Amino acid sequence: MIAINGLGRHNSIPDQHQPDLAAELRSLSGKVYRRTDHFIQLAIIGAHKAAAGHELVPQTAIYMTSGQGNISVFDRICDQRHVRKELPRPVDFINLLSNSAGFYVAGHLGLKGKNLFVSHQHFPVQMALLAVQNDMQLGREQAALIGGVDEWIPRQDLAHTLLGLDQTTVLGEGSNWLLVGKRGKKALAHLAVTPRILDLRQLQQLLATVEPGTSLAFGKRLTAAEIATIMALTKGCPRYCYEEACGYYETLPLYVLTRFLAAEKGRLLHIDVSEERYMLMQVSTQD
Amino acid sequence: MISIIGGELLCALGQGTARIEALRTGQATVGRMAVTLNDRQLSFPYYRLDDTSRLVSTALIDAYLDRVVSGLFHKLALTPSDLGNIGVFLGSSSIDYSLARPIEQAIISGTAGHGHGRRVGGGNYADRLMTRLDLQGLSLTYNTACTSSANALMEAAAMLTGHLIDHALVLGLELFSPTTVEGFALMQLLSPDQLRPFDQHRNGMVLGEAVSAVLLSRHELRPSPWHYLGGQSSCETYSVTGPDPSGVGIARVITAALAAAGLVPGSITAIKAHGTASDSMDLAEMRGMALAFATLPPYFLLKPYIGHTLGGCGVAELVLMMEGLTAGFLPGAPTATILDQEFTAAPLQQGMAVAAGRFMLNYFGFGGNNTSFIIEKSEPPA
Amino acid sequence: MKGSLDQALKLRLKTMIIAECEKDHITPAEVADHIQLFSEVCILELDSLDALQISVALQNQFGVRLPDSKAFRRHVTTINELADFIQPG
Repeated sequence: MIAINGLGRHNSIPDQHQPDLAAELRSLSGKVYRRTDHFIQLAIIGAHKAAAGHELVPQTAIYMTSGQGNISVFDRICDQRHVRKELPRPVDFINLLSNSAGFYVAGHLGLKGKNLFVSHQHFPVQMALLAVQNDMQLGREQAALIGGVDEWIPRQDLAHTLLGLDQTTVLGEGSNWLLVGKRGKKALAHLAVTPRILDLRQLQQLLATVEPGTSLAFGKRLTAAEIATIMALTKGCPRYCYEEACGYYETLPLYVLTRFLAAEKGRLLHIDVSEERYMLMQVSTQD
Repeated sequence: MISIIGGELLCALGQGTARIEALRTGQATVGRMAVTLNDRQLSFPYYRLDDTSRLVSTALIDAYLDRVVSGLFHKLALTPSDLGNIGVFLGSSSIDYSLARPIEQAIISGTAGHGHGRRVGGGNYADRLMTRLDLQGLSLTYNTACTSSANALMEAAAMLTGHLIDHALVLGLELFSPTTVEGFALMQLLSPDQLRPFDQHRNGMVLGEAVSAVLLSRHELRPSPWHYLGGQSSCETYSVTGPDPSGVGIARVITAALAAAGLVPGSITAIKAHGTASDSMDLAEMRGMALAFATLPPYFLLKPYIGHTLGGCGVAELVLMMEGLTAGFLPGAPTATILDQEFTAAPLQQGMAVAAGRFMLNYFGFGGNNTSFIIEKSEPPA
Repeated sequence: MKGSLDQALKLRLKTMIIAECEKDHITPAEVADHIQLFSEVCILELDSLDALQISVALQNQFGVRLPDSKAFRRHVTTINELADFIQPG
């Protein structure tokens, strides 16, 4: 179990154009960095919000995860190569590396610790949190910023194809971050990720032990029927609904946690599914 | 204690005893790769794995990963399913190519492309491999540029230490991609002729391909002389394209890696240097090593044998070092014929007989990522 | 007309450099024609990555062939020289 000390939430459903995040970043922090693009600015905004009001030690680690990373820069480079027959901009080539975003986040916050960009086909957020939780428990890290960053691109047909979703699914973008540390009395909440991927039977066994009154949030890939089945197993736990407020993106589970913790008290169990396998994580506020 | 049970590598240096002999005699085979920038045809030395046509496709990547994993398990006379709780950790600077292909196809055809109803993205290759191996455990894919698979290995070790898994399959992956070579060419980071790390006349990197795997275990799965002692990963924000030339960031990660392994500088037998032959990167590395070590241990280079395999070099160079040491030597590389005037010591020019010791492996890259870890080879039984 | 005498060309070049290097707080008028672009006294404060960006943009937008950005920094040191390089007259 690790302590959550800060929350950074940025979530939107853009329409036709990517929002001008440079302007938002300028008003938020007074700084916009040269050579950053939409994806990188999105990352900085979320991390900035999570760190706001905290004095970070320089060794604070960064774990960034994303479903698909900086799609726009791929799109630009492919367009330059194949359509416009131009040389790619050197800055775009550098930003092809997903960890460029982590570089600018570290620079913005003055960090010198571990700086990882990680991904997972099914559970990018849960796997990244598991790594953080393990590092905290081992004492490898004292503090960490963990962020999920996914951008919305104007080519929505392509975005749906890349996500393997039907063309009617509303897509959004987000940069949602937690500042975590060791257990502490001043913490906003505590977080625990179940350290394995579960099948349905294992999920059912664990759900039988859920404390009454725990709110349940479901990943957006769960069907209504699956949700109904799970709700029935937990005997009266209320459902926490967030779905109306956001479009789909892969790192939504971090949005759900930050949204709950910003406004609610109590416990939230987040249940996610991919290809009939499940991962669980729980946050609980102090009181 | 985390043991390294074994490793396997596909690279430009061939296979088996031929590879060991090449390593022992300091002979590497370098081909060339042509790229087009605008309408300009350029050609650079390049360490190719084989002559297969290099349109990087998912099927091709899958096939190389299968080859290296089956080679590893065959050597160890194990099957992945013999091992209960095993995690898969993959490091590559090109994990995003599962995205690049559909985007390219969509742009060329003017349609939305084909995703086959399945999400593409960074975790793709590890997931497909796990499905083929019928594994269902933990997995993460790392993209931290040239430190990717070095970080994958260190993070796997942390998961083993935390008892989240019992065994870890750690993979490094880097295959030719026109976008990557064009990008490096565009940034004028490639040598037109030869890789000369730490030489006064060094003039850039030579890229290469490698697919590699190591099996780590927290159990004494079988007697192994190889152990992972600890390491550190950190970042510096001097420049997005590499470390601070003063070497302070590199010295910091080396010192922290020694502390994490519970060692003092004098206990390191030799250092596997990163040695890209980029002007500023070699300068930063030399200065960093000089700051961290009062007496610099011998240091050696592996890129002259397989090229700079980018995100794949973390595991690939570890496996190559283990192969040399198993045969009783650390390889020399006759590259730095005129040592940079500012440098205090040259890399090993000729092979050095070594039976056992503690070896530091260093990796640095774009995004300000620095990684250093220490591997021990214990004395063979008398 | 020789490039260094072509005010419209020089304005285009300055605008391009400011855009490529994201120095939006500087106006083209503030960039002097005769000051060395990569010197410390130049208001643009450019680095080696900027040199790369500019040389690629010159190739893409002006069809100019530059062997590499180091040669570019050696031969094309001021706006006047750059303009003459593109348009010898």
